[in-house]
Amino acid sequence: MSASKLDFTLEAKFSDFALNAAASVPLSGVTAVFGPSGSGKTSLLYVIAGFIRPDTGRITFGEETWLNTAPRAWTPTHKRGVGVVFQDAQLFPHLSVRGNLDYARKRADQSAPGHPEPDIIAAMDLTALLDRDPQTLSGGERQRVAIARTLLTRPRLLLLDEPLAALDTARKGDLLPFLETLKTQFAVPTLYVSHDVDEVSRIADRVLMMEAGRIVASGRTDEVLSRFGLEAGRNPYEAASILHGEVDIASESGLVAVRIGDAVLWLAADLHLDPGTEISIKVPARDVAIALERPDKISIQNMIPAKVSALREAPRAAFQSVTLDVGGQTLDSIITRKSVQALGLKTGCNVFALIKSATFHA
Amino acid sequence: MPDLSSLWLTARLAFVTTLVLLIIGTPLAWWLAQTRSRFKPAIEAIVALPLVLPPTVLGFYLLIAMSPNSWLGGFWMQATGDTLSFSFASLVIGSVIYSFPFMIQPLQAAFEGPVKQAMQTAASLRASPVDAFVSVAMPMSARGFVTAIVLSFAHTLGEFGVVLMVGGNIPDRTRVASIEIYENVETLNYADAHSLSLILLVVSFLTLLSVFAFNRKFPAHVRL
Repeated sequence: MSASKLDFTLEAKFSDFALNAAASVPLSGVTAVFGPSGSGKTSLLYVIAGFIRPDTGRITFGEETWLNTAPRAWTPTHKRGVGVVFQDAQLFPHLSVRGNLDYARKRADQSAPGHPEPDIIAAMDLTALLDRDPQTLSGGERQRVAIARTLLTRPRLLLLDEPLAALDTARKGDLLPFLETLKTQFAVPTLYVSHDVDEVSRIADRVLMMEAGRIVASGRTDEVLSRFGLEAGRNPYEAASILHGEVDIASESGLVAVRIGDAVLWLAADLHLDPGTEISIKVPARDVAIALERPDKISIQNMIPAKVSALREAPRAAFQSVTLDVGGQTLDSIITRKSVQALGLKTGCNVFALIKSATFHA
Repeated sequence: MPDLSSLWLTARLAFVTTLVLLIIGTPLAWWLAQTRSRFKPAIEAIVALPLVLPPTVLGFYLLIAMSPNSWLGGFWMQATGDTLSFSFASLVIGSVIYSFPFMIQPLQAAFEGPVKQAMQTAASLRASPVDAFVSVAMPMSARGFVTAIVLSFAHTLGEFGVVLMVGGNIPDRTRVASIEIYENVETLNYADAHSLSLILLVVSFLTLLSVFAFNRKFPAHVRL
């Protein structure tokens, strides 16, 4: 009889954050564990794998108890029947590709349902690689070997820890079809850790959304992603802020001055607005740049003094989301991680928000 | 022609010492590499002590511990009917302690790093901890094992102070090569001192050469 649900309630303290997560995951299809880097996705996966033993909590896999605080229960990793695929594949360097696969096959639970080795090797396209040394493989090839190796143990639950994270964009595209094969042909219940919206929307049936060690949302992939403005096929950087202000000076040459706190923004306006009218404007996060000093000799005319109130990971690794405080209102900016480092941005920094475009918001 | 029995005794001592060190050093090095215990620094300091202590200090304490009046010496006396000090066993105990860091430190270094994560990977492939240690940690740490074994062996070959303190200078029993050389020099028998010294020099060089050649030829792990 196959298990129906993975249930967990966990509390674990780490040096820099605390994991405090509970969920009940149906054991079918792919469940994404989605959230920014540092939100505890990998820690959660490691706790479920049995690599980390949390302070308190309970994990049940169907009828089996893997972890419990009272009465104390603990099932070590090698008895859980979980297959783990790591970010960096973790192939054994002292074994060939075939040796790595044999290692898993010899230790498989023969009573568990599994697929014949030739099918797995064919599905992951490994025939030509069997005699190679793992060190000579590309990143994508290594991950295919790692996936095949895991399948050969006949796992009851697959745990994939950002299997695409170590690959460049082109290689990601090459490996994604194999992950889809994994889902359709082998149908092992899977927890898939990722911070990439495109991957999640393509592969996952449901999503556990994590932030700061907690699961903040869960449900069907499209529902959860849309609730956070992260639908598939839509650029996640369409995120925008709404600022409230009042018309300062009526339009001249098609522009309107809007007063936001102490600052004034000039907006293109097709309609006539009387001074004093309260209005809202919408500013796309990707159209907000940040400067440490007020720049002159620049085409952007709209600059507001602001204070950095939070730095968060953006759904894609190269970017960071910077939350700014402008006179008590919130303005979001998405800039590259490189820029954040170059400017040395930290919470509390006084900066200038350069607004490239803004529209009136009904 | 020098008496070669001292060389034979030295070789036996180095072999037995290395074997004992391998048996007790492997689990201790593994524990040191894995533990987050607050006692770890203290244990590491104790393991490294023979590197800095004068051999006479170590030898002096060992001599006291092995005397028939002490619990260890007394226990040995009861069990074997012989004194522990000035026996081959006392040489082994002294050498094991004296060469301890030469076994522990290369092994501990090999067990840290990639081996740790490889053990987790092995567990996720259903290998029990013992299975994973033998099938993953040991082959991945092959270079560490070779270095530890050869250094322990070579270091025991060259030992002088500790063995002199605990073993004395009894022919065929505790007179190892280094002591015989000292004895030959004292009695102005320079010819024998020369031949024995040359043999020790060449053996030590070849032993060390084998480690460096192995480390150059093979990666950190053996390919199975």
